[in-house]
Amino acid sequence: MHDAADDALLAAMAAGDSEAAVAFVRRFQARVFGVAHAVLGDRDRADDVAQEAFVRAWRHGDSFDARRGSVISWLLAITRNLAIDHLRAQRVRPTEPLDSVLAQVASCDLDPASAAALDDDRRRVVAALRAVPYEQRRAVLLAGLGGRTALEIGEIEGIPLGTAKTRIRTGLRRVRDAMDEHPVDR
Amino acid sequence: VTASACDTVRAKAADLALDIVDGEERATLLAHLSTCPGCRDDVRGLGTVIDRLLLVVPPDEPPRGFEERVLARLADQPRPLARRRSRWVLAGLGAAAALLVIALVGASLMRPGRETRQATMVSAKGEVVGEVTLTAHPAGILIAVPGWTPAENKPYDVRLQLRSGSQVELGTLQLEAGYGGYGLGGVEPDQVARVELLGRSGEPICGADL
Repeated sequence: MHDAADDALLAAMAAGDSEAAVAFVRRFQARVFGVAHAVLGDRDRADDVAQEAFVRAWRHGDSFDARRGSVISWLLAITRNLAIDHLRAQRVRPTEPLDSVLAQVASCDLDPASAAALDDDRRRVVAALRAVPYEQRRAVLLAGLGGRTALEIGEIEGIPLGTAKTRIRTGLRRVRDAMDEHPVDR
Repeated sequence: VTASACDTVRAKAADLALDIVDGEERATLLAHLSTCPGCRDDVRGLGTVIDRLLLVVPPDEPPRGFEERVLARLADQPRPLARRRSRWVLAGLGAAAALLVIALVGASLMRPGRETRQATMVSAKGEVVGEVTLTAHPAGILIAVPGWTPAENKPYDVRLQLRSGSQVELGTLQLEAGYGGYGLGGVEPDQVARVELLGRSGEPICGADL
């Protein structure tokens, strides 16, 4: 069970296999918690949101469609969305953990441990980000990872609202173009 | 669908994919997406890019006991309703509601591969109060809570929870004799995980897991 493919493990968990549920949580908990913590900036809240992400995955795992993406992308998107909803409900805007992640990713200067841990898919995403101007890369990451609005990004970066919108929109399309050149495996 | 309409939507496609546009503007954009496959694909493609950005976030070990807490929560969850597909029962429905069900479900079944899903509607107190039917074509939901006094002949806000974890407020649904139908706008039917009716202060009064 612990060697099963991600989608097979998800399907087994969704079908009620408790051993699969244990293996699924162990396999992905650090990735899920990492996203929750980066967005929320608080380990207690990240713990709650990460737990909820696994509950959602268990509840909706039987509808996962591998043609649309990988299990890890699906699971991390659930986590990010839950974390952003939590932030919006609480009206809090932590920046420190997200800034740390942004600094690493936006500069494409990952620490040795993080760089060594990158698999091929993640390397391709970093390569796509590297193809985009730094300011646009930061705007895309602030919006895409952290759920920041254009208005908030304008305040964080000290730029007019229109400039923030342009950076987000242009940057996201450039990242997509770069990903198309170096497609990420599903 | 006109080229200028597509230009307008595509200029804001990133905002939509990032879920940072709301209100009337969001409704206008979603209405366009519901009729324009090209713009829908554009937004979906940008959404996929955003999801992939998450892959570069470094792993972070959760606090001690996290695994046990998750597994305890899973053990406490009721079995998802979607796996207990209930059979829609027309008997007992009002004539108008029955016709609406037939129209929605019939239209869906006549298109091969299109899905109709049903789930039991459960109140905040845990009572089974009716059912929800979701159809792909036409993309809509039919809520049937006949005989449940709190919802009869009243308008209620409808909220969708999507499989992505996001929420979408559909608007106000007027129930008549406990029945009502609503289009999904730009929301893809297979992304709907839960349908809820909200009370005056925004709290869910009943919901169904699809």
